[in-house]
Amino acid sequence: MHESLLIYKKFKYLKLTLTTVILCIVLYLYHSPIGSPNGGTWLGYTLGTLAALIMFWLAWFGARKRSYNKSKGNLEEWASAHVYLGLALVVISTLHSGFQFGLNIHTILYFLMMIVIISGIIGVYFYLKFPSLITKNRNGLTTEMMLTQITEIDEDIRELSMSLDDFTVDLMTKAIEETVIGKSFIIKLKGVDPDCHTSLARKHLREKKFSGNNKIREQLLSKLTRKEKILDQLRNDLKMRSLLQIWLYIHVPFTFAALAALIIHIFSVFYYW
Amino acid sequence: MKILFSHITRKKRGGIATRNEYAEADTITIGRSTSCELSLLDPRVHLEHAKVVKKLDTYEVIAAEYTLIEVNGELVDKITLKTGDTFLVGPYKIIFESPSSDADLKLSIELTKNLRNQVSDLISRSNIDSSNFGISKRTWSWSLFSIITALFLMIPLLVINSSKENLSSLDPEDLNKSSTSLVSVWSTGEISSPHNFFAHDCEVCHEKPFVPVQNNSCAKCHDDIQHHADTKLFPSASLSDLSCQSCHKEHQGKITVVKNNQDFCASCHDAIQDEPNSLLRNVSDFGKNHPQFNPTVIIDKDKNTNRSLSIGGDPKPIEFSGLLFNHAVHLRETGVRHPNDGIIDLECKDCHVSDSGGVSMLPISFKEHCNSCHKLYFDSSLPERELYHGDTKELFIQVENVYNSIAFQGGYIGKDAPNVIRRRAGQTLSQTERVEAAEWAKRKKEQVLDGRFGKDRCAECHLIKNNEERWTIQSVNITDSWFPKANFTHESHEDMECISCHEANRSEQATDVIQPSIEICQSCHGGENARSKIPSTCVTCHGFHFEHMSPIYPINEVKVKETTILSSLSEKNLALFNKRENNEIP
Repeated sequence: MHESLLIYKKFKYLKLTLTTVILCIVLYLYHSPIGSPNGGTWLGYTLGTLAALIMFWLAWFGARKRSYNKSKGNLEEWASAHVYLGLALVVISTLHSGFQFGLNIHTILYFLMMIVIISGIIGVYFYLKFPSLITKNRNGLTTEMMLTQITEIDEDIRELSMSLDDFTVDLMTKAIEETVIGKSFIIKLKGVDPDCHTSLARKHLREKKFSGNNKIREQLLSKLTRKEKILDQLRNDLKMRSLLQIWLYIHVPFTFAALAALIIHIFSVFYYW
Repeated sequence: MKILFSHITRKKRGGIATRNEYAEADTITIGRSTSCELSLLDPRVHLEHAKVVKKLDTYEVIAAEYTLIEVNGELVDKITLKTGDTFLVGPYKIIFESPSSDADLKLSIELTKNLRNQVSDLISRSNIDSSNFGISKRTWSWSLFSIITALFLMIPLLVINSSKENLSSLDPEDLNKSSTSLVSVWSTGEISSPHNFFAHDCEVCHEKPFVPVQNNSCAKCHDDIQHHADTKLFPSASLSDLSCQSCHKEHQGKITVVKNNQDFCASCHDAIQDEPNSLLRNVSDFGKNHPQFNPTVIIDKDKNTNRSLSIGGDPKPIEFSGLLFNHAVHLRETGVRHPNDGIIDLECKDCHVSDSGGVSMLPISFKEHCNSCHKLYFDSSLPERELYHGDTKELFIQVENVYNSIAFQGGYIGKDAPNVIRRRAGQTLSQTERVEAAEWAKRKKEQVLDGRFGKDRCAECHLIKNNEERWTIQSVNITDSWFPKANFTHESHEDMECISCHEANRSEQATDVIQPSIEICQSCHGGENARSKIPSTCVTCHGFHFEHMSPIYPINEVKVKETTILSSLSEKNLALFNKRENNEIP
């Protein structure tokens, strides 16, 4: 789906968007209004109406995605159109503004919309980049499988450590019981936990003086290394899956904000016509 | 000493399973180590956790070095055990039972807390849900939606509503300051400077919500705006059906709302010759397509006739001023002779002074500008007397009166005069002497008026017409506006040399029209889109609403409206408005 989102039906929506955008630019250059270009000329109203309709339609995509109603065309087509028309909005709304910006709701709308579009571009980038990386990173394993592998290694570590000194056992217990995946928002997105108890345990075991059986120590180290590897894999997986979600936390709420601003923009412009 | 370890396991469905284990030792060590008498394989148990030691008839539990042990809920380092005492070793609860028949000491051991080592534990403490960031998109979305709506819709609407209700009770100044900043988020741009004084009163122009600004709102102040052209001759140029707003765009920043688009003018004027009734020539760009200047020259001031001819055209424009004047002589580099000051250099500004607005030139007067050199002495015996300048009738009366009064008073010193005129002043005359004196006076008057000190002197600068009575000076028609349809200010060009535009130093005839040609202006000014010249658009020089055209809004209609519309201005602004109307403030 990820490649075909952009090249859907031989760039059908890219072509549509480019045609619309070029038409708008040509009209803008041809149009010679009295005074400086702005939203209040015939072209301004036309571009504004077009931009508003596109905005409402793009927002409707979110609702459409939830309804799973197949009769309205397939979702892939909608997504492709959504991406390209969203990009067209950059040009259409800028031309609508006539490059006039100020401290007002109209410019606020412009910037809210830009935040939505930029987050959308980031989202598309993520959608193109991560799914294949996620598959590669998982290497055929599911999350549950990786988690089971970890608990199995934990069992081994526990058994191996029984005969060791209390301090080492404590370290291993922490490695088993306090290793967390997705500890915080930041760690989730970074994919790296600097205070991971498994890593700490391995470091300690390798660096500190060890009085017990060296063979057990080597076995423990190898188990811990193996566990760390799976943890990395899991954390990387979580990071990429989170990034596929996180842009939506900007994209969707700012869509709501932009829609509110759009309604106020239209209302206020005609209130004080 | 024989010891019985009784391991208790509680079953899931109730019931207890017991596994007995016997040992032989004097001291029971308890720990994770396999060398302990009671070896408990659990990471929560220390390698050597505690030991139970026999002291005479009693038993004592002792915690490992530097640790404590919980016995019956209390942490102690060692304690003598009584039957039924319970102590904890890691997750194990150990009860000190009464000795049984087959052992000296019985300890029952039960694992109370299982090890947490399940996938579910790992999942429960982790956060592997990729879409869980602590806040839901829905909450965050509706919050932003509400914030934007409250700040930029609800508050402005409340302010607008309350300002309508409280207009009379609040000081408009305070109202403006506090509320307009909240409503101004709706403004699409800064208001033009001339309209700034009521910029905070949106309702002055935007009278009704959802209704475009009406022409009446503009006509509150601009009540006498004229058409651009005669609407009967040029119906296509009528502005009656247009709103002011369609050309004059507000909220475009601190610039004027007067529009200066060249294209707007050119849309009609680049083919204006094809327009029926039009006498104008086509124009589209000052630098590239603008006709040669046609100075307007007055032909007959009395009949109010004039004509415009192209500079450099054929016939070339000639001014019929009725004067004779040689600019070249006055401006020659060797200077001119002043009767008192010797040789002096004259400059243009010695005669041509612009008005205080810098728009047009003040009239030249003989007395102020010519008379200091050009003395109108007419009689060497009357050295301070000059001819009256301005009106020939007055002049004739003046000369007649001068000689009549000399004739009757005497004392004249002219050598050619008869004795009766040269008599001592105040001496009475006989009848014949009177006649002689009167005849001298008449003769002298005619001699002066028709001679080289009179008519000839006037003819040096004026055209003389003979008439039945005597002669008269042709009226002077100096053009004061050479280009009545163009605005030009000398003020903004004051750093330039006059002769760089007006070739006065080469003009020997007063009929010369020494106005600049378009090429001279074009050497600095280009059209609206000029890159290397001063961009100049149509309205840089030309007006649009012409004073001599009929008003777009009949005045009486507007006056009625004005009173009703002005009431919509807030009190403060109304006061400002009235002051401005009465010219109390600039």
